[in-house]
Amino acid sequence: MAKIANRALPTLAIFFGVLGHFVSFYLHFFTVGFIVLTLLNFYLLRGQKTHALLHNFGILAQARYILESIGPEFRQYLYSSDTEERPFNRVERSDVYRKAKGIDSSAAFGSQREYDATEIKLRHSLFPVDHDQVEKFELRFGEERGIKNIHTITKPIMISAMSYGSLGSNAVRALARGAKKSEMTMNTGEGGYPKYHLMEECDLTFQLGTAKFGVRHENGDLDESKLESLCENPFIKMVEIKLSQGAKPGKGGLLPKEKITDEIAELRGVGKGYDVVSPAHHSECKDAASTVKFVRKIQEVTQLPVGIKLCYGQKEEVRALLSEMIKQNIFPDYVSIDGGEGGTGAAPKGFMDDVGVPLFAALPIMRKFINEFEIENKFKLICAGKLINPTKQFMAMSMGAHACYSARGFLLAIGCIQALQCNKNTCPAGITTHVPRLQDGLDIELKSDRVYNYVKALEKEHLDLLAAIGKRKYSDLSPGNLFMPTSLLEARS
Amino acid sequence: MRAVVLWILQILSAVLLMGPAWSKITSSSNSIELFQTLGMEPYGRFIIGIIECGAILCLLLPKMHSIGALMSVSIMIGALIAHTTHLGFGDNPMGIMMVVNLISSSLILYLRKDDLLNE
Repeated sequence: MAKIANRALPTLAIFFGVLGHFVSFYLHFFTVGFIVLTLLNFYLLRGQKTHALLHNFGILAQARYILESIGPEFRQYLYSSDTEERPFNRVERSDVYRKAKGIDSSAAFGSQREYDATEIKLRHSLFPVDHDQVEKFELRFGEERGIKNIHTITKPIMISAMSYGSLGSNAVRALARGAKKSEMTMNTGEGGYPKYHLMEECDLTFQLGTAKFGVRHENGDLDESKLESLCENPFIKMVEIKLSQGAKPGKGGLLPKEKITDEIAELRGVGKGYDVVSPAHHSECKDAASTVKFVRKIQEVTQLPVGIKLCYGQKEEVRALLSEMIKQNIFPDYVSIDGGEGGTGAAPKGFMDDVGVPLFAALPIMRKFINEFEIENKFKLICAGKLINPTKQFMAMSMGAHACYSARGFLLAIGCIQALQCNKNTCPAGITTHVPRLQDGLDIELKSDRVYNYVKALEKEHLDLLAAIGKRKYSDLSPGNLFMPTSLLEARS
Repeated sequence: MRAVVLWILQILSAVLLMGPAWSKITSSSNSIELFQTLGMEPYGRFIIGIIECGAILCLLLPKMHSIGALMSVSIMIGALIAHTTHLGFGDNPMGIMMVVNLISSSLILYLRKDDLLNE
């Protein structure tokens, strides 16, 4: 095939050259086209060795690269089945879209999942509870320490950490406005001073990342006065110390100097003209003891509920951390377990794919430790990791979580099409991009309504599920509500 | 250094295209005469004039330089065919300008080859 193409190009150039001369000069448009292709083909075959395929087969091999580059779109729209894609398949995404648009999200005929006892399922009750007997959700952070600034949430779900930088300003504001309308708490992410989050006046959890963006001295050390002054803002309700993240546990980050605009430099509190490194861990947290001390320090500086976020990794380390909390009698106000399946704007593929324990394996172990150490009443347990639909959230809460975080669920709600371009500044939905033309398509008011609709639909389904399981309140949920496949039980033991 | 050389070549190619494009679009008598000889008057003249304007824009716009150079090379090959087979070169410096533009645009293409070829 390639041989034929390589010979056909000069032949066609000559053929149209003759026709152009004797029939019509217009035919020389083809002559020129084939001459250019012939010259290009000659260069590929004889003039370069960077691409072996192009060197061996010529211009026809270029089709392979073109097809490969458009493959994701073809697979997403034409060839992949409704239950095939990752991280979220079309069925899962459509469910969020319908909820966000406030349209009927019922399905017909039967489940598209493999109903073969390899998945976790919820066990219903023979005697469901009436809806009016179900207690409304409420969770109070900081009550264990008896602090003045207790933060109460009334939704079992919160918007997980997404900072300005990874998201564009319109997306941040749409989510924050949606959070405000839904009376829900949103996490700012570690991207520094939350200028755009604060514009919408919703309840916020300020995330303190390893680089201390927004509350740092220029050398990267924590600037306590900046943190204290930020936490005096009435909309900052909690602080979360990020120890590790599900998508890239144990890995820091790099903010290249090219991406540091005047605004980013100001919000993050960094200088311009050099790369800024986010360390893999907080400089204050070298072991369990120093980590616990750091938690206390942040609690004292901020006077707010302070949580820690971690991806479950090594069993002994987590045990040691909990033991140290007991030893020092210092506890965070919540612990957020981020499953290894968590998402991010950009991370090395190996870390995303293979580092960190998945949520539904980690959560029961964490709950087991908490029961073993008898520290159930010392802090709240939150979790995150692909929890975009109510049944998954319910499973997590049955495994011991008090509330859930979701980031990508809310991105889908505001129009994410899973184009997988979050790290390229080319997001076609205008979410993870700073290109004004792309952001223009994201209407803040309209998308904030989508967030509100999504939360409302989640709440309704939560209520239905709680009633169907036969419970009157969330605190009655337990692992007994779950059908656990044998493989997962074995992995946990 | 490479960027400076590329910008010099891009501006040179764009400038060399401006005169012919202007004369085609504004229907100068010389241009009409040439295209009558080729049997392409008036549509061919306008089509090629518009392509030349597109090439000038692409040569000067960010991320479009290699496309502009490819268009410029194609136009010059077409012009060489026309002058070789029908029009002749006469006394005017058009022939030299065409060859200079062909070399300049080809150099841009060579230096920017990675922009055109998919990884």
